[in-house]
Amino acid sequence: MPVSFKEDRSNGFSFIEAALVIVALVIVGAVGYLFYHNSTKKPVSTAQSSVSQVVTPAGTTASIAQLAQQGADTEANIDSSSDNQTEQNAVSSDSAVSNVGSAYNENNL
Amino acid sequence: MKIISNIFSQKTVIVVSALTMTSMSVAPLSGTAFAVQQASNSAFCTNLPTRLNTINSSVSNLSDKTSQAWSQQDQRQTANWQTVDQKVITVRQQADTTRSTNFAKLTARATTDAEKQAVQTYESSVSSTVTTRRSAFDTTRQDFRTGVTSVISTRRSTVVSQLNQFKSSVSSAVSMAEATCSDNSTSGAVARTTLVASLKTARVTFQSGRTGDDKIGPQIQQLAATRKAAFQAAEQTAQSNFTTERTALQNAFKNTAV
Repeated sequence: MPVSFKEDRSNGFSFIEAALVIVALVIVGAVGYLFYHNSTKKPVSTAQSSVSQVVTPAGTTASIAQLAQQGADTEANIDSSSDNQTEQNAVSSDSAVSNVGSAYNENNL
Repeated sequence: MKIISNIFSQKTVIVVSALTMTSMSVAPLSGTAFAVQQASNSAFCTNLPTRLNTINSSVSNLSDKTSQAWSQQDQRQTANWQTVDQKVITVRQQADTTRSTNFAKLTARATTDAEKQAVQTYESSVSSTVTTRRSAFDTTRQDFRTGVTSVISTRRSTVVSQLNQFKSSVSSAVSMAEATCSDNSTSGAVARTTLVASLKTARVTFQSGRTGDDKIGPQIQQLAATRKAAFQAAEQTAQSNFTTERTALQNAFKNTAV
């Protein structure tokens, strides 16, 4: 009895079907990884924030003093963060001054 | 003897003749070279006004650009500090709002007249301390800015002096070259050599003055360090006052939890 290869092949997965299954698995895996990655990061950031800032109860003298200190620190940071710009700006005209020295090349006379 | 004498005289004639011919053939060449040199020297003096005009124009143009750079520098600095001032205003407004909220909650906890009075006193003292601290910060900030402005101004004065010296040297060199060329039209080589040397000296002297340009950065950093220390001192004083005011309120409430 002759064997029909055509019929056998049409009964299995086609290449496109197999590719679709693989793509679906990759997507599911990527989404799962992202969820896992985020769930492992959150506790770390929470721990960091709890270390850097001790929360005092509102409406207490401690919280008022803390807020005042935070305000002072923020102001100081605002000033210091602009220092680099101040410094760069202070020397920004140096190139223009230096260029005057190259106004001519006496050897070309 | 006569034969020797004849031979010698024949040789002498030949040598003299050869020398004469050589001289006659070379003479036109050396004359042409001298004429070319003269023409070149004359060309230098002829083109001198155009070249000097180009130099003067270039020096003047670049000097003007320095003034423009300073003007732009001032504008940027003003804008930079205005941005800082605006941020500080915003931060203070937010702090005032938050502190008022805290004061209200504290007032709500006062039940007796003595406690209410103590809270009012506390609020007044804290507000005064905050105002004093802010005022100290403002003064310190202004001192820093005055210092930066002074550093830049001092540097500019130095540069202006160097620029004037440079321009004066170039002008002198130019005048001397013009005078030399007008006095003697064949002295172009001397005029050129003197002009090149004078212009080089002027340029090198000006460029050596640029070594002072990099001193502004460390000076500003020092001013910033001084400002930071003053900020910390003002904040320490404020926190010390807060502690005193806090203790007074706790005594009135007979409660350390407030």
